[in-house]
Amino acid sequence: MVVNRDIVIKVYQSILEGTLSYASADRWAWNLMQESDKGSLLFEPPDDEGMLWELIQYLYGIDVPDVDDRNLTARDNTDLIRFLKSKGIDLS
Amino acid sequence: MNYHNSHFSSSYGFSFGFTPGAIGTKTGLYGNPFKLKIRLPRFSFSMDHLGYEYTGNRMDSGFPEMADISWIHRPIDDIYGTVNSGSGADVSRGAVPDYLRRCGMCHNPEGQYYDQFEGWRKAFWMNVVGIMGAAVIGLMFATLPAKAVRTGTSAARLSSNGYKLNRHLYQLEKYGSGGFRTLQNGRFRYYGRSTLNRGNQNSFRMVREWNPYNGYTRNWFETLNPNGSVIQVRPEFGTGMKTHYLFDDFGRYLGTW
Repeated sequence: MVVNRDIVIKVYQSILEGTLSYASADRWAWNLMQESDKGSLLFEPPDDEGMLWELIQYLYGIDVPDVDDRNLTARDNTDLIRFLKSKGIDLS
Repeated sequence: MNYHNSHFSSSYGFSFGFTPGAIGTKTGLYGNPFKLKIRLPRFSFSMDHLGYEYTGNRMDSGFPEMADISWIHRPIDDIYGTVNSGSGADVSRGAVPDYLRRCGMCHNPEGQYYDQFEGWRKAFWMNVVGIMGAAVIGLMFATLPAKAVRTGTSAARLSSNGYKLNRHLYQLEKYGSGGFRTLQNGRFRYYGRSTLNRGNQNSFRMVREWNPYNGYTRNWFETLNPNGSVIQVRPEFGTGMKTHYLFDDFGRYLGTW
């Protein structure tokens, strides 16, 4: 399985647009991690592996609820945008 | 060469031995010390004393030269023929001159010469075959159990360790951005970087535990309060089922939801 910057950015865009739920994004990231553990996940270009992996991991567990208010998640869209900006990606 | 004044003497011998290694120096704490004792490369076989003396000149011969000693017959025949032909020496039937007793060629009571080296050659090869056979058999019996016993240096062990090290480094890179630690049971835990929750001072992080003995991994998210106590755990079952285990600030289990 090949993953590149465009694929990951599209997932983030879908989350911010509300077309992809946090729970689905969490499963998407989990599946990619499974592929990586099996050694079948390829990053394109290979130099972006570190950055792409961070973007993927940030989505894993994005739906973990807050302990005080289970209706909230520990991260929300504001956190996603801030995180993307820290990586030089502006989707706002 | 002047065979008539020859003085023959022969010496023949070989030795062999096994040189044992110091116990435990190369086989490790759990190694089989007997393996080194019967190891073929340490098997020493010497026949440097094999040779003849001929008219005072030592001929250090290897075994092929020694095996082909037919050339000795001719000078001895010449000697005996000479003395029998009336040279004055007492060489009557049955009497063996001293100088012939010392040589490699003697005659039997019927007065016929025989090659005493013949028997030595056969004995030599029988010994060689026997020793080498014993060495091979000993090597087999010593090596097979040793491989079963060894735990520290076998190729399979090294390969396995290399694979585990590779897996450890991989998981440290991918999941250990927040560090890792080794548990007392030999498992490893890799911690992702903790991030603060949106609405409070709690933080959460991903944790991966790896068992290097069977390769199994398990993942979970844990939420920590500002004191660093785990107050919520969500294991990854891989099925999409998401169960949250709650704990109070003192680590007491409160329930699931």
